[in-house]
Amino acid sequence: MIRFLLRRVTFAIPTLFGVATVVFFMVRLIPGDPARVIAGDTATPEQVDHIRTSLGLDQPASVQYGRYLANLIHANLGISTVTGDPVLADIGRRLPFTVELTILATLIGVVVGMSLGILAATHRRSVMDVAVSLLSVAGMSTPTYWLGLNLVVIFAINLRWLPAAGAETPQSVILPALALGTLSIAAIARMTRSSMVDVLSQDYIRTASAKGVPRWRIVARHALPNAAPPILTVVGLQFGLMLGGAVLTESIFAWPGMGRLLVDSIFARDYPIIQGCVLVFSLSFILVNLLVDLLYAVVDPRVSLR
Amino acid sequence: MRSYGAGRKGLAAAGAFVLLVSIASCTQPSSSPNTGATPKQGGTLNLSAGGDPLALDPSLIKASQGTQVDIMVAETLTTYINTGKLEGLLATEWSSNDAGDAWTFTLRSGVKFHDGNPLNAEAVKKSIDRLLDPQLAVVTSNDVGKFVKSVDVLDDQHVRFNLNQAVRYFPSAMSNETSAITSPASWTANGNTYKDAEHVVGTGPYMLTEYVVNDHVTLTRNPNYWGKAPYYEKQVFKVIPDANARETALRAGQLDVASILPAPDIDSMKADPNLNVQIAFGTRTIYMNINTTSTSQPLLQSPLVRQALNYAVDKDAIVKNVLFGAGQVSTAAVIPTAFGYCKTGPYPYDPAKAKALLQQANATNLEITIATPNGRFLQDSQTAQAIAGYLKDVGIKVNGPLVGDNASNQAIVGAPPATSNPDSRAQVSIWSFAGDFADASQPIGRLYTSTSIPPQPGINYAHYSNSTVDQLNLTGATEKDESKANAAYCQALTQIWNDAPQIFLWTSGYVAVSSKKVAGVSVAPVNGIFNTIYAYPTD
Repeated sequence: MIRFLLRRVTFAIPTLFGVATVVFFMVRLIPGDPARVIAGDTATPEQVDHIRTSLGLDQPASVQYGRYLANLIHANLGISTVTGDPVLADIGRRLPFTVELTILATLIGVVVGMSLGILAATHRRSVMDVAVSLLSVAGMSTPTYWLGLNLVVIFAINLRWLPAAGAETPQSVILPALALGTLSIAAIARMTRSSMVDVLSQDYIRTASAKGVPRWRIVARHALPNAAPPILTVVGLQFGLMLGGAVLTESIFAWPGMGRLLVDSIFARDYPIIQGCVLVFSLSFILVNLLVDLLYAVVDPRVSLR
Repeated sequence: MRSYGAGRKGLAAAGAFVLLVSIASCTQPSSSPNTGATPKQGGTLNLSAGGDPLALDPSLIKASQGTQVDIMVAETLTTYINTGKLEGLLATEWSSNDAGDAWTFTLRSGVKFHDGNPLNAEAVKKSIDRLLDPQLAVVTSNDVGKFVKSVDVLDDQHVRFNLNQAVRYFPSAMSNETSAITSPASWTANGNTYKDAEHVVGTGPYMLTEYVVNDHVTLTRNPNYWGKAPYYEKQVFKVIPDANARETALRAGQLDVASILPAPDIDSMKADPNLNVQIAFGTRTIYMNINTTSTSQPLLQSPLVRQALNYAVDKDAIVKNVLFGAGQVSTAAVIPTAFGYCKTGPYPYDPAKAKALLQQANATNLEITIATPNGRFLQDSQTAQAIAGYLKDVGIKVNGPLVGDNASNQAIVGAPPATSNPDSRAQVSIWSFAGDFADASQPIGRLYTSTSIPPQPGINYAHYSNSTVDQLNLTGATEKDESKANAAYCQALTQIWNDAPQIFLWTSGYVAVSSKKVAGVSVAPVNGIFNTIYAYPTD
């Protein structure tokens, strides 16, 4: 177990290094001069040059890259060119919001998705099954942006039940989490259904049935744990999709998380923040999938972590 | 002072979600002011003008949202925000010496900063000295910084600004929010440092009480304000960068006032019985620079050709159909509210005349490349598309428009990096200028004088040069006699109009929408700013 963890963490380091490198050069491919953007349209060329020099952007990319890596090893992600604060501080301010949003969205996806999947599997070839399949296809093909705006129109503008934007009240998270969570309901429901259908046709289920074990107990105690590993994999992958979805969702709902920070930084050509956000996104994706692997061992004793 | 939303607790489990949904369905969001129970006095006004202010220290203003907050908190010596005319705010009168290069201001008496310290000449000197201090990372270029040599304290109520040249409009320049006066004692209190005093302590009708970065700024009424007391107890600026999200928050009642909203929605907002739509015309002019020194298309060096481009475009139609009314067709090279304005246009839509002029200039086979930023100015790329169509209609071969996004457009439209580059990729390109205050010297000086051609300071991307205009602008800026100054500006504007270094388009409209439950919201004639100081509930 310890060795497994150590190995996985060791593998994560080159991955992150690769991400850091790719991002570093990608952001510099975005056209536009950060110094000009910061200086504004009435700035003199001297002011622009001054800003460029003070940000170190006048150095060749290779020098900037070397400095970036050296700082990275010391967990120093640099200074935001817009706020002048350390990147870690800026990200630290936003991260809790995105964590809150994605956890809640994942919960919505898992609870609703698995419930629908189980219903469909236990009522195979019934109206319920077809309805769940249709819903899944619809859910998977609904753009988050469109869904988000519709939720706002219905629940914020027409019914006035929930706030349309911002993060000032506890209810504020509900609409963005619903918009984001719906994305994964469909995928989780489909995987739950197919995995459960497999398990439910196994001999030991038939045996349990023959012994008179109640239906709910068969599903909850015997079938679900055995059907869980592939579902867990999907949940882990969905989490990655959600980080991407958060970029859109947070913009629509003015949710002050990392997604919006990333979008704002791209427009402002705030290189250090863009790099920092992508690194943190990658790190969370790696961590969540590590967590999923660990959970395999919990739900399936046959899996040993070595 | 700065808190960063640290109080948010992590979310619990799925059970909590169910609970929240049930709570939400039976309660209004607490932020909604429109529950009908708004008290006549006090209460809170919720506003949004876009993204985070980025900096609240007036000297360090980086975005119009910073100005939006600061006009309520830190006052300037003079102002335009209440009536659109130059008025004293912290100063009651001002006069210059005979040479016009030293200005003495008399300060309003009995004014106190929010920290209780008195406003006096010493505080004004220290504030302006700090603004001019190279230690400070001042971003916005400011005429005060350009002209002020030194500041003298004459006595407690009188302060003199010594300038490096005669500047007739210096009192106008002092209305810029970056030259607001703040309490020197506050620069080292409340977590402030001399180089960055984000906890602004001014003399304004509202005091800064909270700034949660990327979330909101809360202002609370100043009980000791020297002038008329404002109505709302609090005004909360919410950070909502996405224009659509701002519009939905306004329609959902979460905001009372919002600005910079999507232009295509203007009509539907006008039709909404709960909303008041105001379109104001600030100081931002939109135009297409024509490279007057182009060697890749030398025909553009001819004023006749440039006039033809102006006649070829139906500005009224574009304002109506592309800008949804949010534009006022230019009648001169400066905005109509500027000191020195005189009507020199517009160029009417006359494709026949455009064709005739092209013929006269032997330019019937004219081919040009045009460019535009994307989303930097209201409907900019859509405007460029429309203009391309009109130019094709008079027989011009148009390449483009090349579209650059907010950051890359300067490379395309030809703001040369360090050296002057008369042949940028596009020969005709959309750009814009917004003055800090309404005097013709600023737009003329930055856009149309030979000393503003890059790489010199300025944005004369048309590379337009006319020594008469240079001389007239200097006269306008330095002449003490206002009617003579006016005449000089008018002559310069006429010359510019006839030389047509640009396709003159319009003054950009600025959309501010408020709930019908709020009155007293006006749009200040400084670009992108609305004034809610004396807003009040209508019920």
